[in-house]
Amino acid sequence: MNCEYVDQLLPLYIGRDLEAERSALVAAHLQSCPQCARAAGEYEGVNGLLQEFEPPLFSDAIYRGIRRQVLNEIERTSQAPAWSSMLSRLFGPLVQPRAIAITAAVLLATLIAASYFVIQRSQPSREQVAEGRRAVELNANSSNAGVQSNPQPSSSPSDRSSEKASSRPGVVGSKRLPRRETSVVAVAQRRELRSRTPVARVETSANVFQTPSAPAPLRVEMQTSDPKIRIIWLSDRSQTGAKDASKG
Amino acid sequence: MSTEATSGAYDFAVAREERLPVNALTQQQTSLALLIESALAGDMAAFEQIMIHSEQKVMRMTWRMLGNEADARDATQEVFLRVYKYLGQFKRDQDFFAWLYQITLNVCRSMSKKRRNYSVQFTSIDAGGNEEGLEMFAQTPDVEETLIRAQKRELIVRAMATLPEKERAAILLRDLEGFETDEVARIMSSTSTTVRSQISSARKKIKLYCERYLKKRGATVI
Repeated sequence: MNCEYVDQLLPLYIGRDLEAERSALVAAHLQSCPQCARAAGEYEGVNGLLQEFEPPLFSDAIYRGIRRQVLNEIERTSQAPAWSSMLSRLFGPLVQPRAIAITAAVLLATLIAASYFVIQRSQPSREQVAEGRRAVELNANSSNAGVQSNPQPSSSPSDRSSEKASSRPGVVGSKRLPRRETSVVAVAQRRELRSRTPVARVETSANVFQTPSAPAPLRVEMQTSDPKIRIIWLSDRSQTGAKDASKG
Repeated sequence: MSTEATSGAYDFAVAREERLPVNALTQQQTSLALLIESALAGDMAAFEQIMIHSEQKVMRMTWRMLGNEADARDATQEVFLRVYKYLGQFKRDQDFFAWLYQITLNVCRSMSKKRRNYSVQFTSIDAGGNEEGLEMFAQTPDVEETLIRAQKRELIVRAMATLPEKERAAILLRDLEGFETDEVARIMSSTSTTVRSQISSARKKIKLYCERYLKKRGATVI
Protein backbone atom coordinates (compact mmCIF):
# COMPACT_ATOMS: atom_id res chain seq x y z
CA MET A 1 0.00 0.00 0.00
CA ASN A 2 1.71 3.19 -1.19
CA CYS A 3 1.46 6.68 0.21
CA GLU A 4 -0.62 7.99 -2.66
CA TYR A 5 -3.29 5.36 -2.12
CA VAL A 6 -3.23 5.87 1.64
CA ASP A 7 -3.65 9.62 1.11
CA GLN A 8 -6.88 8.92 -0.79
CA LEU A 9 -8.18 6.68 1.99
CA LEU A 10 -7.22 8.89 4.95
CA PRO A 11 -10.43 11.06 4.96
CA LEU A 12 -12.56 7.92 5.27
CA TYR A 13 -10.13 6.23 7.67
CA ILE A 14 -10.20 9.14 10.12
CA GLY A 15 -14.00 9.19 10.13
CA ARG A 16 -14.17 5.40 10.58
CA ASP A 17 -15.93 5.05 7.27
CA LEU A 18 -13.49 2.52 5.85
CA GLU A 19 -14.17 -1.19 5.93
CA ALA A 20 -12.18 -3.28 8.40
CA GLU A 21 -9.72 -4.82 5.97
CA ARG A 22 -8.55 -1.63 4.34
CA SER A 23 -8.65 0.19 7.65
CA ALA A 24 -6.17 -2.30 9.08
CA LEU A 25 -3.87 -1.84 6.09
CA VAL A 26 -3.93 1.94 6.45
CA ALA A 27 -3.23 1.68 10.16
CA ALA A 28 -0.25 -0.54 9.46
CA HIS A 29 1.08 1.90 6.87
CA LEU A 30 0.76 4.83 9.24
CA GLN A 31 2.94 3.01 11.73
CA SER A 32 5.82 3.05 9.29
CA CYS A 33 5.30 6.27 7.33
CA PRO A 34 5.80 9.56 9.25
CA GLN A 35 4.56 11.65 6.33
CA CYS A 36 1.24 9.80 6.12
CA ALA A 37 0.99 9.81 9.91
CA ARG A 38 1.36 13.60 9.87
CA ALA A 39 -1.37 13.85 7.22
CA ALA A 40 -3.61 11.63 9.36
CA GLY A 41 -3.02 13.98 12.28
CA GLU A 42 -4.11 16.93 10.14
CA TYR A 43 -7.31 15.14 9.24
CA GLU A 44 -7.92 14.48 12.92
CA GLY A 45 -7.55 18.21 13.51
CA VAL A 46 -10.11 18.94 10.80
CA ASN A 47 -12.49 16.48 12.41
CA GLY A 48 -12.09 18.28 15.73
CA LEU A 49 -12.48 21.64 14.04
CA LEU A 50 -15.76 20.48 12.58
CA GLN A 51 -17.22 20.14 16.05
CA GLU A 52 -16.83 23.93 16.37
CA PHE A 53 -19.34 24.44 13.57
CA GLU A 54 -22.07 25.48 15.93
CA PRO A 55 -24.76 28.07 15.26
CA PRO A 56 -25.23 31.01 17.61
CA LEU A 57 -27.44 30.54 20.62
CA PHE A 58 -31.07 31.06 19.69
CA SER A 59 -33.28 32.44 22.41
CA ASP A 60 -36.47 30.81 23.65
CA ALA A 61 -38.40 33.70 22.16
CA ILE A 62 -37.26 32.67 18.70
CA TYR A 63 -38.44 29.12 19.22
CA ARG A 64 -41.75 30.32 20.71
CA GLY A 65 -42.24 32.54 17.70
CA ILE A 66 -41.62 29.65 15.34
CA ARG A 67 -44.10 27.42 17.14
CA ARG A 68 -46.70 30.17 17.18
CA GLN A 69 -46.32 30.77 13.47
CA VAL A 70 -46.63 27.10 12.69
CA LEU A 71 -49.70 26.58 14.85
CA ASN A 72 -51.38 29.69 13.45
CA GLU A 73 -50.75 28.53 9.92
CA ILE A 74 -52.14 25.09 10.69
CA GLU A 75 -55.25 26.63 12.22
CA ARG A 76 -55.68 28.98 9.26
CA THR A 77 -55.43 26.23 6.68
CA SER A 78 -57.76 23.96 8.63
CA GLN A 79 -60.42 26.69 8.67
CA ALA A 80 -60.11 27.46 4.98
CA PRO A 81 -63.10 26.33 2.89
CA ALA A 82 -62.80 23.04 1.09
CA TRP A 83 -63.03 24.65 -2.32
CA SER A 84 -60.18 27.02 -1.45
CA SER A 85 -57.86 24.18 -0.54
CA MET A 86 -58.93 22.28 -3.63
CA LEU A 87 -58.17 25.29 -5.83
CA SER A 88 -54.80 25.80 -4.19
CA ARG A 89 -53.99 22.14 -4.81
CA LEU A 90 -55.06 22.38 -8.43
CA PHE A 91 -53.54 25.71 -9.31
CA GLY A 92 -50.80 25.95 -6.73
CA PRO A 93 -48.14 24.54 -9.04
CA LEU A 94 -49.17 27.02 -11.72
CA VAL A 95 -48.32 29.93 -9.49
CA GLN A 96 -44.70 28.91 -9.42
CA PRO A 97 -42.49 31.33 -11.31
CA ARG A 98 -41.21 28.64 -13.65
CA ALA A 99 -44.74 27.62 -14.64
CA ILE A 100 -45.71 31.23 -15.20
CA ALA A 101 -42.68 31.82 -17.40
CA ILE A 102 -43.38 28.74 -19.49
CA THR A 103 -47.03 29.67 -19.91
CA ALA A 104 -46.12 33.21 -20.96
CA ALA A 105 -43.60 31.90 -23.49
CA VAL A 106 -46.17 29.54 -25.00
CA LEU A 107 -48.77 32.32 -25.27
CA LEU A 108 -46.26 34.66 -26.89
CA ALA A 109 -45.23 32.03 -29.43
CA THR A 110 -48.88 31.33 -30.27
CA LEU A 111 -49.57 35.04 -30.71
CA ILE A 112 -46.60 35.48 -33.03
CA ALA A 113 -47.62 32.48 -35.13
CA ALA A 114 -51.21 33.68 -35.39
CA SER A 115 -50.07 37.17 -36.40
CA TYR A 116 -47.81 35.70 -39.06
CA PHE A 117 -50.60 33.68 -40.62
CA VAL A 118 -53.03 36.60 -40.57
CA ILE A 119 -50.53 38.87 -42.29
CA GLN A 120 -49.71 36.21 -44.86
CA ARG A 121 -53.35 35.75 -45.81
CA SER A 122 -53.97 39.47 -46.19
CA GLN A 123 -51.06 40.01 -48.56
CA PRO A 124 -51.14 38.93 -52.26
CA SER A 125 -49.45 35.67 -52.93
CA ARG A 126 -46.01 35.54 -54.34
CA GLU A 127 -47.32 33.95 -57.50
CA GLN A 128 -49.58 36.90 -58.15
CA VAL A 129 -46.80 39.39 -57.55
CA ALA A 130 -44.43 37.44 -59.76
CA GLU A 131 -47.10 37.25 -62.44
CA GLY A 132 -47.45 40.99 -62.46
CA ARG A 133 -43.72 41.52 -62.70
CA ARG A 134 -43.41 39.04 -65.55
CA ALA A 135 -46.25 40.73 -67.37
CA VAL A 136 -44.53 44.08 -67.03
CA GLU A 137 -41.25 42.70 -68.24
CA LEU A 138 -42.69 40.79 -71.21
CA ASN A 139 -44.80 43.68 -72.37
CA ALA A 140 -41.87 45.99 -72.11
CA ASN A 141 -39.83 43.59 -74.23
CA SER A 142 -42.59 42.95 -76.75
CA SER A 143 -43.51 46.57 -77.30
CA ASN A 144 -41.61 46.70 -80.63
CA ALA A 145 -43.47 43.66 -81.98
CA GLY A 146 -46.73 45.60 -81.83
CA VAL A 147 -49.65 44.96 -79.63
CA GLN A 148 -53.17 45.94 -80.43
CA SER A 149 -56.40 45.29 -78.78
CA ASN A 150 -57.85 43.87 -82.01
CA PRO A 151 -57.91 40.12 -81.79
CA GLN A 152 -57.97 39.65 -85.60
CA PRO A 153 -55.38 40.97 -88.03
CA SER A 154 -57.85 41.83 -90.85
CA SER A 155 -59.21 45.32 -90.91
CA SER A 156 -62.81 45.58 -90.00
CA PRO A 157 -64.99 48.08 -88.25
CA SER A 158 -64.71 46.15 -85.08
CA ASP A 159 -60.97 46.11 -85.41
CA ARG A 160 -60.82 49.81 -86.00
CA SER A 161 -62.93 50.51 -82.95
CA SER A 162 -60.80 48.33 -80.73
CA GLU A 163 -57.69 50.08 -82.03
CA LYS A 164 -59.17 53.32 -80.89
CA ALA A 165 -59.79 51.82 -77.57
CA SER A 166 -56.22 50.65 -77.38
CA SER A 167 -54.94 54.17 -77.92
CA ARG A 168 -56.44 55.34 -74.73
CA PRO A 169 -55.10 54.35 -71.36
CA GLY A 170 -57.63 52.54 -69.35
CA VAL A 171 -58.24 50.02 -66.74
CA VAL A 172 -58.72 46.54 -68.05
CA GLY A 173 -60.08 43.84 -65.98
CA SER A 174 -62.26 46.07 -63.88
CA LYS A 175 -65.80 47.22 -64.31
CA ARG A 176 -64.78 50.28 -66.30
CA LEU A 177 -64.48 48.85 -69.80
CA PRO A 178 -64.87 50.47 -73.23
CA ARG A 179 -68.23 49.69 -74.76
CA ARG A 180 -66.75 47.98 -77.78
CA GLU A 181 -67.68 44.50 -78.65
CA THR A 182 -64.20 43.57 -79.71
CA SER A 183 -62.74 45.08 -76.56
CA VAL A 184 -65.19 43.19 -74.42
CA VAL A 185 -64.37 40.00 -76.23
CA ALA A 186 -60.68 40.67 -75.80
CA VAL A 187 -61.16 41.34 -72.13
CA ALA A 188 -63.17 38.18 -71.74
CA GLN A 189 -60.48 36.27 -73.47
CA ARG A 190 -57.86 37.84 -71.27
CA ARG A 191 -59.86 37.00 -68.18
CA GLU A 192 -60.18 33.43 -69.25
CA LEU A 193 -56.53 33.21 -70.02
CA ARG A 194 -55.61 34.91 -66.76
CA SER A 195 -57.45 32.29 -64.85
CA ARG A 196 -55.25 29.67 -66.44
CA THR A 197 -51.60 30.61 -66.52
CA PRO A 198 -50.15 34.10 -66.49
CA VAL A 199 -47.48 33.28 -69.06
CA ALA A 200 -49.95 31.96 -71.58
CA ARG A 201 -52.18 34.95 -71.09
CA VAL A 202 -49.40 37.33 -71.83
CA GLU A 203 -48.24 35.44 -74.88
CA THR A 204 -51.71 35.00 -76.25
CA SER A 205 -52.57 38.60 -75.78
CA ALA A 206 -49.41 39.54 -77.53
CA ASN A 207 -50.27 37.28 -80.47
CA VAL A 208 -53.87 38.42 -80.53
CA PHE A 209 -53.05 42.04 -80.78
CA GLN A 210 -50.07 41.83 -83.01
CA THR A 211 -50.37 43.07 -86.51
CA PRO A 212 -47.50 42.95 -88.92
CA SER A 213 -48.17 46.19 -90.60
CA ALA A 214 -49.19 48.55 -87.78
CA PRO A 215 -46.59 50.17 -85.55
CA ALA A 216 -46.42 48.50 -82.13
CA PRO A 217 -47.98 50.59 -79.37
CA LEU A 218 -46.33 50.94 -76.04
CA ARG A 219 -48.04 48.63 -73.56
CA VAL A 220 -47.36 48.71 -69.90
CA GLU A 221 -49.07 46.44 -67.44
CA MET A 222 -48.99 47.13 -63.74
CA GLN A 223 -50.32 44.69 -61.13
CA THR A 224 -51.74 46.44 -58.11
CA SER A 225 -51.75 45.06 -54.57
CA ASP A 226 -55.26 43.86 -55.24
CA PRO A 227 -54.91 40.71 -57.35
CA LYS A 228 -58.16 41.53 -59.13
CA ILE A 229 -56.97 44.88 -60.44
CA ARG A 230 -54.31 45.34 -63.09
CA ILE A 231 -53.47 48.61 -64.84
CA ILE A 232 -52.64 48.36 -68.52
CA TRP A 233 -51.30 51.41 -70.25
CA LEU A 234 -51.59 51.39 -74.00
CA SER A 235 -50.00 54.24 -75.83
CA ASP A 236 -49.95 54.37 -79.58
CA ARG A 237 -46.62 55.48 -80.86
CA SER A 238 -48.19 57.24 -83.83
CA GLN A 239 -51.61 58.81 -83.41
CA THR A 240 -51.83 59.46 -87.18
CA GLY A 241 -51.12 55.80 -87.93
CA ALA A 242 -53.84 54.66 -85.62
CA LYS A 243 -56.38 56.98 -87.16
CA ASP A 244 -55.53 55.76 -90.65
CA ALA A 245 -55.89 52.17 -89.46
CA SER A 246 -59.23 52.83 -87.94
CA LYS A 247 -60.51 54.43 -91.09
CA GLY A 248 -59.29 51.89 -93.16
CA MET B 1 -53.75 25.42 23.20
CA SER B 2 -50.65 25.38 25.43
CA THR B 3 -47.68 27.38 24.37
CA GLU B 4 -45.18 26.40 27.05
CA ALA B 5 -43.48 23.03 27.25
CA THR B 6 -44.11 20.76 30.18
CA SER B 7 -40.55 20.09 31.19
CA GLY B 8 -39.65 16.53 31.94
CA ALA B 9 -42.95 15.10 30.78
CA TYR B 10 -41.50 13.56 27.63
CA ASP B 11 -37.94 12.42 27.33
CA PHE B 12 -36.81 11.78 23.80
CA ALA B 13 -33.76 9.93 22.61
CA VAL B 14 -31.98 13.03 21.41
CA ALA B 15 -28.42 12.03 22.27
CA ARG B 16 -26.23 10.77 19.46
CA GLU B 17 -25.76 7.35 21.02
CA GLU B 18 -29.43 6.94 21.90
CA ARG B 19 -30.96 7.55 18.50
CA LEU B 20 -33.11 4.46 17.99
CA PRO B 21 -36.08 3.47 15.87
CA VAL B 22 -39.47 4.29 17.24
CA ASN B 23 -40.48 0.71 17.84
CA ALA B 24 -37.73 0.13 20.40
CA LEU B 25 -39.22 -0.83 23.74
CA THR B 26 -38.14 2.19 25.71
CA GLN B 27 -40.16 4.78 27.49
CA GLN B 28 -38.84 7.54 25.27
CA GLN B 29 -39.79 5.95 22.01
CA THR B 30 -43.14 4.87 23.39
CA SER B 31 -43.76 8.46 24.38
CA LEU B 32 -42.84 9.66 20.90
CA ALA B 33 -45.11 7.08 19.31
CA LEU B 34 -47.95 8.16 21.56
CA LEU B 35 -47.39 11.80 20.69
CA ILE B 36 -47.46 11.04 16.99
CA GLU B 37 -50.68 9.09 17.35
CA SER B 38 -52.23 11.89 19.37
CA ALA B 39 -51.13 14.49 16.84
CA LEU B 40 -52.63 12.45 14.02
CA ALA B 41 -55.88 12.33 15.96
CA GLY B 42 -55.89 16.16 16.02
CA ASP B 43 -54.26 16.85 19.38
CA MET B 44 -52.37 20.08 18.71
CA ALA B 45 -50.78 20.00 22.16
CA ALA B 46 -49.13 16.71 21.26
CA PHE B 47 -47.85 18.16 18.00
CA GLU B 48 -46.48 21.13 19.88
CA GLN B 49 -44.61 18.75 22.16
CA ILE B 50 -43.08 17.12 19.10
CA MET B 51 -41.95 20.55 17.94
CA ILE B 52 -40.49 21.48 21.31
CA HIS B 53 -38.29 18.45 21.46
CA SER B 54 -37.04 18.60 17.90
CA GLU B 55 -36.90 22.29 17.09
CA GLN B 56 -33.33 22.80 18.28
CA LYS B 57 -32.02 20.01 16.08
CA VAL B 58 -33.95 21.34 13.11
CA MET B 59 -32.85 24.91 13.73
CA ARG B 60 -29.19 23.86 14.02
CA MET B 61 -29.41 21.91 10.79
CA THR B 62 -31.11 24.69 8.86
CA TRP B 63 -28.60 27.27 10.11
CA ARG B 64 -25.70 25.02 9.10
CA MET B 65 -27.20 24.48 5.67
CA LEU B 66 -28.39 28.00 4.94
CA GLY B 67 -25.90 30.07 6.91
CA ASN B 68 -28.03 32.77 8.50
CA GLU B 69 -30.65 33.06 11.21
CA ALA B 70 -33.47 34.55 9.14
CA ASP B 71 -33.42 31.78 6.56
CA ALA B 72 -32.98 29.18 9.29
CA ARG B 73 -36.13 30.45 11.03
CA ASP B 74 -38.17 30.39 7.82
CA ALA B 75 -36.90 26.94 6.96
CA THR B 76 -37.68 25.61 10.43
CA GLN B 77 -41.26 26.84 10.18
CA GLU B 78 -41.64 25.20 6.81
CA VAL B 79 -40.16 21.96 8.14
CA PHE B 80 -42.75 21.67 10.89
CA LEU B 81 -45.59 22.58 8.57
CA ARG B 82 -44.53 19.72 6.34
CA VAL B 83 -44.14 17.43 9.35
CA TYR B 84 -47.74 18.16 10.28
CA LYS B 85 -48.91 17.71 6.72
CA TYR B 86 -47.12 14.42 6.11
CA LEU B 87 -47.22 12.95 9.62
CA GLY B 88 -49.69 10.37 8.40
CA GLN B 89 -47.08 9.06 5.96
CA PHE B 90 -44.46 8.52 8.68
CA LYS B 91 -43.73 4.82 9.07
CA ARG B 92 -43.66 3.63 12.63
CA ASP B 93 -40.67 1.39 12.08
CA GLN B 94 -38.33 4.13 10.86
CA ASP B 95 -36.26 6.61 12.79
CA PHE B 96 -38.30 9.73 13.44
CA PHE B 97 -35.30 12.06 13.40
CA ALA B 98 -33.98 10.55 10.18
CA TRP B 99 -37.37 11.28 8.63
CA LEU B 100 -37.27 14.75 10.15
CA TYR B 101 -33.83 15.48 8.70
CA GLN B 102 -35.00 14.27 5.31
CA ILE B 103 -37.73 16.88 5.36
CA THR B 104 -35.25 19.46 6.65
CA LEU B 105 -32.81 18.85 3.80
CA ASN B 106 -35.59 19.05 1.23
CA VAL B 107 -36.72 22.39 2.64
CA CYS B 108 -33.16 23.71 2.70
CA ARG B 109 -32.65 22.59 -0.89
CA SER B 110 -35.79 24.42 -1.98
CA MET B 111 -34.70 27.59 -0.23
CA SER B 112 -31.18 27.36 -1.62
CA LYS B 113 -32.58 27.25 -5.14
CA LYS B 114 -34.33 30.52 -4.49
CA ARG B 115 -31.11 32.03 -3.24
CA ARG B 116 -28.11 31.44 -5.47
CA ASN B 117 -25.50 32.38 -2.90
CA TYR B 118 -24.79 30.70 0.37
CA SER B 119 -24.35 33.66 2.64
CA VAL B 120 -22.95 32.85 6.01
CA GLN B 121 -23.17 35.34 8.83
CA PHE B 122 -21.06 34.18 11.69
CA THR B 123 -20.86 35.69 15.15
CA SER B 124 -17.42 36.99 15.87
CA ILE B 125 -16.39 38.05 19.33
CA ASP B 126 -14.54 41.08 18.09
CA ALA B 127 -17.38 42.15 15.82
CA GLY B 128 -19.23 45.23 16.83
CA GLY B 129 -22.76 45.06 18.16
CA ASN B 130 -22.66 41.47 19.35
CA GLU B 131 -23.63 42.00 22.97
CA GLU B 132 -24.18 38.36 23.71
CA GLY B 133 -20.78 37.43 22.36
CA LEU B 134 -19.03 40.21 24.23
CA GLU B 135 -20.77 39.27 27.48
CA MET B 136 -19.74 35.68 27.03
CA PHE B 137 -16.21 36.79 26.30
CA ALA B 138 -16.05 38.96 29.37
CA GLN B 139 -17.33 36.21 31.65
CA THR B 140 -14.95 33.57 30.35
CA PRO B 141 -12.06 32.97 32.69
CA ASP B 142 -9.77 31.79 29.90
CA VAL B 143 -9.91 34.59 27.40
CA GLU B 144 -7.21 33.16 25.21
CA GLU B 145 -8.98 29.81 24.94
CA THR B 146 -12.23 31.53 24.07
CA LEU B 147 -10.55 33.61 21.43
CA ILE B 148 -8.95 30.55 19.91
CA ARG B 149 -12.30 28.80 19.79
CA ALA B 150 -13.88 31.80 18.13
CA GLN B 151 -11.18 31.84 15.49
CA LYS B 152 -11.61 28.13 14.89
CA ARG B 153 -15.33 28.62 14.53
CA GLU B 154 -14.80 31.37 12.03
CA LEU B 155 -12.44 29.17 10.06
CA ILE B 156 -14.78 26.17 9.89
CA VAL B 157 -17.75 28.36 9.00
CA ARG B 158 -15.83 29.79 6.07
CA ALA B 159 -14.64 26.35 5.02
CA MET B 160 -18.15 24.87 5.14
CA ALA B 161 -19.44 27.73 3.01
CA THR B 162 -17.19 26.59 0.17
CA LEU B 163 -18.67 23.08 0.04
CA PRO B 164 -21.39 22.05 -2.42
CA GLU B 165 -24.78 21.54 -0.82
CA LYS B 166 -24.78 17.74 -0.99
CA GLU B 167 -21.28 17.40 0.45
CA ARG B 168 -22.17 19.81 3.24
CA ALA B 169 -25.32 17.84 4.06
CA ALA B 170 -23.46 14.52 4.00
CA ILE B 171 -20.71 15.64 6.34
CA LEU B 172 -23.15 17.35 8.71
CA LEU B 173 -25.30 14.26 9.02
CA ARG B 174 -22.31 11.96 9.42
CA ASP B 175 -19.86 13.91 11.58
CA LEU B 176 -22.13 16.24 13.56
CA GLU B 177 -25.41 14.37 13.82
CA GLY B 178 -23.80 10.96 14.07
CA PHE B 179 -25.80 9.05 11.49
CA GLU B 180 -24.23 5.99 9.94
CA THR B 181 -23.34 6.12 6.28
CA ASP B 182 -26.28 3.92 5.32
CA GLU B 183 -28.65 6.16 7.27
CA VAL B 184 -27.20 9.24 5.63
CA ALA B 185 -27.75 7.58 2.25
CA ARG B 186 -31.41 6.90 3.13
CA ILE B 187 -31.94 10.47 4.34
CA MET B 188 -30.39 11.91 1.22
CA SER B 189 -32.09 9.39 -1.09
CA SER B 190 -28.70 8.30 -2.31
CA THR B 191 -26.35 5.32 -2.11
CA SER B 192 -23.72 4.51 0.49
CA THR B 193 -20.98 4.68 -2.13
CA THR B 194 -22.02 8.13 -3.21
CA VAL B 195 -22.28 9.33 0.39
CA ARG B 196 -18.79 8.02 1.21
CA SER B 197 -17.43 9.79 -1.82
CA GLN B 198 -19.13 13.02 -0.80
CA ILE B 199 -17.89 12.78 2.78
CA SER B 200 -14.34 12.05 1.66
CA SER B 201 -14.39 14.96 -0.77
CA ALA B 202 -15.81 17.30 1.88
CA ARG B 203 -13.13 16.42 4.42
CA LYS B 204 -10.38 16.91 1.85
CA LYS B 205 -11.73 20.30 0.85
CA ILE B 206 -12.02 21.46 4.44
CA LYS B 207 -8.47 20.39 5.15
CA LEU B 208 -7.17 22.08 2.02
CA TYR B 209 -9.09 25.28 2.81
CA CYS B 210 -7.76 25.39 6.35
CA GLU B 211 -4.19 24.90 5.16
CA ARG B 212 -4.44 27.75 2.67
CA TYR B 213 -6.21 30.00 5.15
CA LEU B 214 -3.63 29.45 7.84
CA LYS B 215 -0.78 29.74 5.39
CA LYS B 216 -1.97 33.19 4.41
CA ARG B 217 -1.89 34.25 8.03
CA GLY B 218 1.39 32.62 8.82
CA ALA B 219 -0.06 29.95 11.10
CA THR B 220 0.46 26.24 10.75
CA VAL B 221 -1.68 24.66 13.43
CA ILE B 222 -5.42 24.28 13.31
